[in-house]
Amino acid sequence: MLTYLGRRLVMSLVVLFGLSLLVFTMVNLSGDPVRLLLPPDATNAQVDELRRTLGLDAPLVERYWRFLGQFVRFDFGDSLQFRQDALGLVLERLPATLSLAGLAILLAVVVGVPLGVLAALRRDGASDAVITGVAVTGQSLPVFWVAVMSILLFAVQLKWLPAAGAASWRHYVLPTGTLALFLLGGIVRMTRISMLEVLGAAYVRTASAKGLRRGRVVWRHALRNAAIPVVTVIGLQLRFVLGGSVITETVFAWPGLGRLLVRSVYARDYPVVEAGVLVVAVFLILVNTLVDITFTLLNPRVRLQ
Amino acid sequence: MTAARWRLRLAKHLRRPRVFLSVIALAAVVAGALLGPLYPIDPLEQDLMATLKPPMFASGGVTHVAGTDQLGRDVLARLLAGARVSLALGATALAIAMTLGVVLGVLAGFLGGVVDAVITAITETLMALPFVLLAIAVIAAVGASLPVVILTLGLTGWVSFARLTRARVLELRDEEYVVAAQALGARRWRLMLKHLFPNLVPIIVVEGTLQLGGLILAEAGLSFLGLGVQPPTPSWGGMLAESQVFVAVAWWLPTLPGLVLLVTLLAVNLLGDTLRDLTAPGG
Repeated sequence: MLTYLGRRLVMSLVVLFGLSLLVFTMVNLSGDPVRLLLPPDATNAQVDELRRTLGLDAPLVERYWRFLGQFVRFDFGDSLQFRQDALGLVLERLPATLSLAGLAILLAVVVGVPLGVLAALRRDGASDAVITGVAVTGQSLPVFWVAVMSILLFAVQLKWLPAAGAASWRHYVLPTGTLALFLLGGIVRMTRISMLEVLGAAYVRTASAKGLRRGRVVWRHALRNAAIPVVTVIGLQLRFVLGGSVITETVFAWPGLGRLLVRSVYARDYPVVEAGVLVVAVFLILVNTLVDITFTLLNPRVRLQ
Repeated sequence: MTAARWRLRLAKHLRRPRVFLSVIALAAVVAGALLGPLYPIDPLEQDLMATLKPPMFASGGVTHVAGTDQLGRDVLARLLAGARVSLALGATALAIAMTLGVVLGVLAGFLGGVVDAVITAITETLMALPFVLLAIAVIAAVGASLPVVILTLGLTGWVSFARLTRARVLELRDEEYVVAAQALGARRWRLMLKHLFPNLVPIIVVEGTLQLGGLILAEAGLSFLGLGVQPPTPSWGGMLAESQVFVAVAWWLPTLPGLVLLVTLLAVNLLGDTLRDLTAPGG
């Protein structure tokens, strides 16, 4: 268990180091931020001075070394656009993104798991065909199209819901629904497959044989064991949820991290991009490690491997 | 499995309606992409006297079957041109991702040691970030153009191929026929090419089909964000992005490109699933 955790930790550090290299390369491949910050009629002396102030005149290796130091200390300096601490700016936007992603995952689980169970119970029946069909279609639906079409339908045609912003609970409906739909297919299909496997297991037959009611067997005995791969899938999908939220936030003008990052990339606002990438990566690594550890503790079979 | 049994299983799967429909839908998209240039209207030709005309089936004119956009360009012509871009881009990116992923996966699995550690570290790093974020960062850094988009998709899409291949090679490495060939003195590259590679083909084909859908979707998403195929070149994602402003007055502008994209992805994904069932033992 401890060696496993140790290996996990080392791998996370390696990944963070790789990311620091990746981000640094990316940032230096892109254009000169100094020219974007100054008015077009700025003199060369002004350009040089700003470059010195921002520390962009040093050689590449030295800049990477300094960058790595900042990276380790979570210190990225001020945003070039907003003249405000970059990490603070990112952390300020994080709750909006996490509440959007969290609600979407919750919605997808609440709807998806029962559908998956139902499909498994009615295997090869009509409900199975319909549910699986909806799940496959959901997996093929482009997030940005769902976003635009839901605005067309619910905001423009029916005028039920607002199309942009995050002022009230009604603003949550369309972005959350869009993201949840994106997740739903995977959760339904994983629940179905996992339930089918578990339903054939000996302990489920035993539970039925000793006279337990069908509902109790399915929801208590089978689903508990079928839940493990489903939770793993949700942990892995978190990456795609955060990716999907970049697009969702852009379409619905959601004041979250995704939109901030897209705008910062366009504005070549390096510090914010660096801080954002690091925060997202650390968050994903933490969540996936936590998911793994929880399973190791909960499931003796995993622990023994 | 013998060829005859394989054909039997294939025939059984082809009779299933959704597989049959997927094949037809995909054939239609490919035909549209290939025969698109024969369509009489130029996708870039503007007609400012006939902007935002609804499609024929919604009581529009007969000249523009699928209506026109805000500049009076023919939507059907643009959809056909978009199909060509989507498929060509998806296929090229897939070829890059597949080649890179399989080569790195075989090397990691077969050689082990330092090579394996380095390749695993790279795949883990690339998997630590949402793909969109990675692609946005790369494309914003070097500027959006067709080669950049293809390379970005190819150079980020190889990870799943590498992981799958590596896992399969680790399984195969201890198979008796591989050990036997090794004992007979076969060279390493011969082992990899002659004994390992043929056994990798099924999983690569399945993963390739599923990834093709992902790559087409990714291209559309990037074009939607303005980081993929650049206007005036028509692309489904770009058409969707432009349509956002006209959602209230021209429902067909966001609806049609999305629908075509959905049908394409659905067909590719269903065929991928079918191939997976087909190659799975005992299916």
